[in-house]
Amino acid sequence: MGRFMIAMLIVVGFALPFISGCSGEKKQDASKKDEKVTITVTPWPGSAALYIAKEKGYFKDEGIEAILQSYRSGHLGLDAVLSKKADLAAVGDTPIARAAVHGHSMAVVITLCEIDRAVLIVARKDRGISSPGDLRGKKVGVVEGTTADFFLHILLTTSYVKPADVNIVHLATDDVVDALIRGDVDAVSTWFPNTVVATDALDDNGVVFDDPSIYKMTWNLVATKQFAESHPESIKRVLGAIVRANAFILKYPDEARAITAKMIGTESLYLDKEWEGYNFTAALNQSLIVNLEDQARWMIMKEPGRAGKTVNFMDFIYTDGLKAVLPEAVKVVRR
Amino acid sequence: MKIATRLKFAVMVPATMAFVVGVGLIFSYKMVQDAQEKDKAVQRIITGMNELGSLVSEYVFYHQERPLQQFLAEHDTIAGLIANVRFREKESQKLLEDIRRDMESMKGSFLKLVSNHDRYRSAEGYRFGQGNELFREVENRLVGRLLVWSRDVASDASILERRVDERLIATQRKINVLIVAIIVVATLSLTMILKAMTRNINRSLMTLRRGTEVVGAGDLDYKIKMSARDEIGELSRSFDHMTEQLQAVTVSKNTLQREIEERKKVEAALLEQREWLRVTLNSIGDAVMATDTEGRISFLNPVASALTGWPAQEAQGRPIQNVLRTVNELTGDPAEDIVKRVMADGRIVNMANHTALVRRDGSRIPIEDSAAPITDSAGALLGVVIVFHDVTEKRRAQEALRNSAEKLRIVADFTHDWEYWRSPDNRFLYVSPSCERITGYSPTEFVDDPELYARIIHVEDRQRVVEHMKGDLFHLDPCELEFRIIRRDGRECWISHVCRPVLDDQGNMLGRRASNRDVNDRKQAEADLQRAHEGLERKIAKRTAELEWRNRELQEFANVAAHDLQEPLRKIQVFGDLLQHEMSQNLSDSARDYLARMTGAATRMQELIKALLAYSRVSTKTNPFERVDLRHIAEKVVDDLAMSMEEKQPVVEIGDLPEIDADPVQISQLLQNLIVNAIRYKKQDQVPAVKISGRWVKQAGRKNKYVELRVQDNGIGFDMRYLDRIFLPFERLHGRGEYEGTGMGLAICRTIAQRHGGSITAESRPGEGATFIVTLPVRQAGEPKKSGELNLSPFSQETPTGKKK
Repeated sequence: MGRFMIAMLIVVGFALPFISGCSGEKKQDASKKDEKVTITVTPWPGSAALYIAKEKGYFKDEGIEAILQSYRSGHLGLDAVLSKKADLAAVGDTPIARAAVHGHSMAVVITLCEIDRAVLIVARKDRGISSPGDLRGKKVGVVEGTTADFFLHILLTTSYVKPADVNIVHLATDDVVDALIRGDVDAVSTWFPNTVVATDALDDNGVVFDDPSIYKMTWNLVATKQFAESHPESIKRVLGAIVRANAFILKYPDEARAITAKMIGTESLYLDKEWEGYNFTAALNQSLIVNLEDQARWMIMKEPGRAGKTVNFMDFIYTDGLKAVLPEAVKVVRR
Repeated sequence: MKIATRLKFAVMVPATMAFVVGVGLIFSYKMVQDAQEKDKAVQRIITGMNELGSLVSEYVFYHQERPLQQFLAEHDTIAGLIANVRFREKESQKLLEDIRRDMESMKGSFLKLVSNHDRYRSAEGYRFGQGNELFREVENRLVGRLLVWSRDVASDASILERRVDERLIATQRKINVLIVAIIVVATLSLTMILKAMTRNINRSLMTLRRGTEVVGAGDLDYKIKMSARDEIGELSRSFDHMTEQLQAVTVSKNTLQREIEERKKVEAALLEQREWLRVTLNSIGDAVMATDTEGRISFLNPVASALTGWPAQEAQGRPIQNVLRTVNELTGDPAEDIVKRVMADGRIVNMANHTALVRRDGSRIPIEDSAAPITDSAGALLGVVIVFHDVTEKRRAQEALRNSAEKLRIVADFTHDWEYWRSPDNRFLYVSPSCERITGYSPTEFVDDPELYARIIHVEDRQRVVEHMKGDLFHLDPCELEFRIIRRDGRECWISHVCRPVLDDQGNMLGRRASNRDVNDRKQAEADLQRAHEGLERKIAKRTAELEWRNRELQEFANVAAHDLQEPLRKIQVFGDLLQHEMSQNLSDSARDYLARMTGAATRMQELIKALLAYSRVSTKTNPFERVDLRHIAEKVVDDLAMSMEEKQPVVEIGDLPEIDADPVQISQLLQNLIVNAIRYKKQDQVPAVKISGRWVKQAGRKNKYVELRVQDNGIGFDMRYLDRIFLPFERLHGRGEYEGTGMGLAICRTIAQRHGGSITAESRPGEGATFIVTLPVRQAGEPKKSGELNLSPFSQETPTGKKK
């Protein structure tokens, strides 16, 4: 019987691998060399995948030495990429559309996340504002050329308020909240964390307008076309790290939130409510192109002489990188 | 484990396998079902999205109620479907959540679109006027959003569908592999179990079969003894039990065979024993006869037959008295019938001494015999056995022994010395008659009173002798002793005692045999001799003292004379040198020659005087003996001679030399003289080579150890017929012109050697070098005797104050 047991054990030992199947994370290629890549980030939840990839060493595993440069808003980061001070920028769709319309050649390599309530209108009740229609004749502060600017427009129009009927005041990013609190403006169109700061400051005097049905913001990773075409391997490795970070966010949301809060420099509890509206997609959707085209049309319409010409945004989507890493995430129809 | 149990277990394996496979298949079926349901749901979502997209288009085109209602209905259906679907995988569930969210947004956008259209168609819309553009913009945006939601939902649903399919395939693959693995494991295990079972069963059956064959052959003692606990084991134990039962009732053939063999063995043993007894009895050197209870002969061995003269067959059955006729050897009267006596007494009876057997032919043989009863195990008399033998030779040997002892006794009794034999327990076994002549006491007195011996010993010697008698009793070596006794008449008598042990053939101590001789006369003579010797020694000592005094006087005279002689010689030399230095120019050649000869002669005279002084001092100016290292002295001598002999560049080799008791100064002088001679008498144009060696020697007749010192050279050598001459003073074998020297060196060496109790000699051949051999004792007891050995020197010796006499 002793020999029988030994034979059984041998057979089971051989069978076990077949039963259990392969599992576990893929092995990292030890032959990859570390390459420096500079990425601009805006300290808000949309940049979570980048923060986590850095914190958990996913960039390092891919052989990328990621240098994260923090900017107050995405369009400033995009400017850094266009002026070759950085390689990749995390930025919303509106600055991308504006840069494209102005003739800059770019490549969107991935949409990091989609946000339902990315931008909000925060208004003062004491200025007689309780609905979007009350914004007629009021001063509304906004940073020109940003997603907040676009959102203000579509919210007004879908609320049947002509934009011309609103006194739009262009503000600097750092001045938006202060202007509203000071009363220099009656309302502002802005994004996190300004929205949180403004609503906390106004408290009961504040009212918030949003409409997820009219706009879903995309937060994207962009490079110049030249960089994307000359560094395809770097793009692939960065995307590989981001895909792993996204899987981490899905598996360990609490820890992902805590890391993001730490990197942003805020309390984790502030992100608890905000986190619900962020859809960490790590994909390239058709909705990105639609968004970009919609915003391009808005820009051209707003300033016909200055905005530039219409563009084919299919040329601004770089799918090779993501296709090599996660083919199913590429949902953009290509020719 | 029972076979049935094993079989059950073996059956269980495929059953278990089937069960597991069944469970796997059921699980797989459930998973497939679940995947199919999900797939159906996702398909429905995709279809629904397509439908909603169409309905949106229709509404945009026609703005009718129907597409609106259908959109809402279809949306609610799909929303409800989504709400009822759950995915275990987080990624898939997230996708579903995204779809649900997009669906919500899509509905919101669609309702806004409817509201926009209604607003446009109402009075508010017209009132706007230019608001047409606004409404169009809003409509375009909302339609765009709707298309985006629709596209995204469809895309997500496709991904979801693909994931469901992939998961289903993966799960099915896993289950298939599991099933295959289970089948393989089960098959292997079943095969091994069955194989083991088969082997065990076969082995058991073989053992059982073998057992049945053995038992069937008749061996009922055979036991299968199978330890297995299965059915076959039980069968074997039942079989063994059956065999035991059979054995108990029926006689085993083997047992019978064994009994027969046992009996045969016993009979064979009995026969063998009988034959052994017969051979033994026939081989016995004594005559053996046996009778029955009526005294009739039942056995007669060949020796008995030969002695009695009756053949066994004739004697058989006859009355013992007819065959074994015995008479008194001395008187001739019939001897006692010992057979009757044995039968009467029932015990062993020995024949009387001097019994003779009357043979059939009437001749007589002296015999010794005994008879004993033959009884059975119960003690009942069965007969008598008589054993006897011819003692003719024994009688003769005894007679010879008696004669020999008598002779020895006569020899011992007539020895001049007092002989005795003392036993190990200190009794006198024999004392010769001479003891009476020597001691005054008779042998009988010593035999009767062993302590008498000790009492007659002189009181001063008694303890020594008594201790000797006690301690040396068992000493195997002969020992000698001299002591005094006090004779019966009171006179002292010296006894020279010699004794040695007496041992038998086996080496056992029988005592000590001693011989005491009267040596009184010899002792007296020794005492007289001793007295004469002492007187002579006194005379010799006196004479020696006179001689020493005269020697000292002569040596003093020689010393003073040598010294006084040296003074005028020195003057001759000094004035001669002065003449040579100051007046040589004024002298003629012949005068200078005469002067040179004169100074040369004076110089030689000085050297001779020095040599004589040295020679004389050998005996007079001595140092006490002390332990000296000969090698060390030789090295020092060579070192001292290095300067003076530098010209000749000798090669001196010093071997291992021992330490001896000697006068270090004189030994140094001896070695120096020998080495100087060896170098001086070298061959022309040859480097002188000297080899000094030593060895231990034993001189015959002397107890002391000696050292032989050898000084060997490669010089001119000498003829051995001049050996004695070279050691005499002033003797030279070569002229002064050939080799320098005074001729005293070797004489001095001889004197030194003799003073140390040694000697000197030499071995040589002309032209082949010479070897001088000095033999010296290792140890010195004291100063060697001067008389008879010393050459008395005419030279004086210095007084202790250093003044000449």
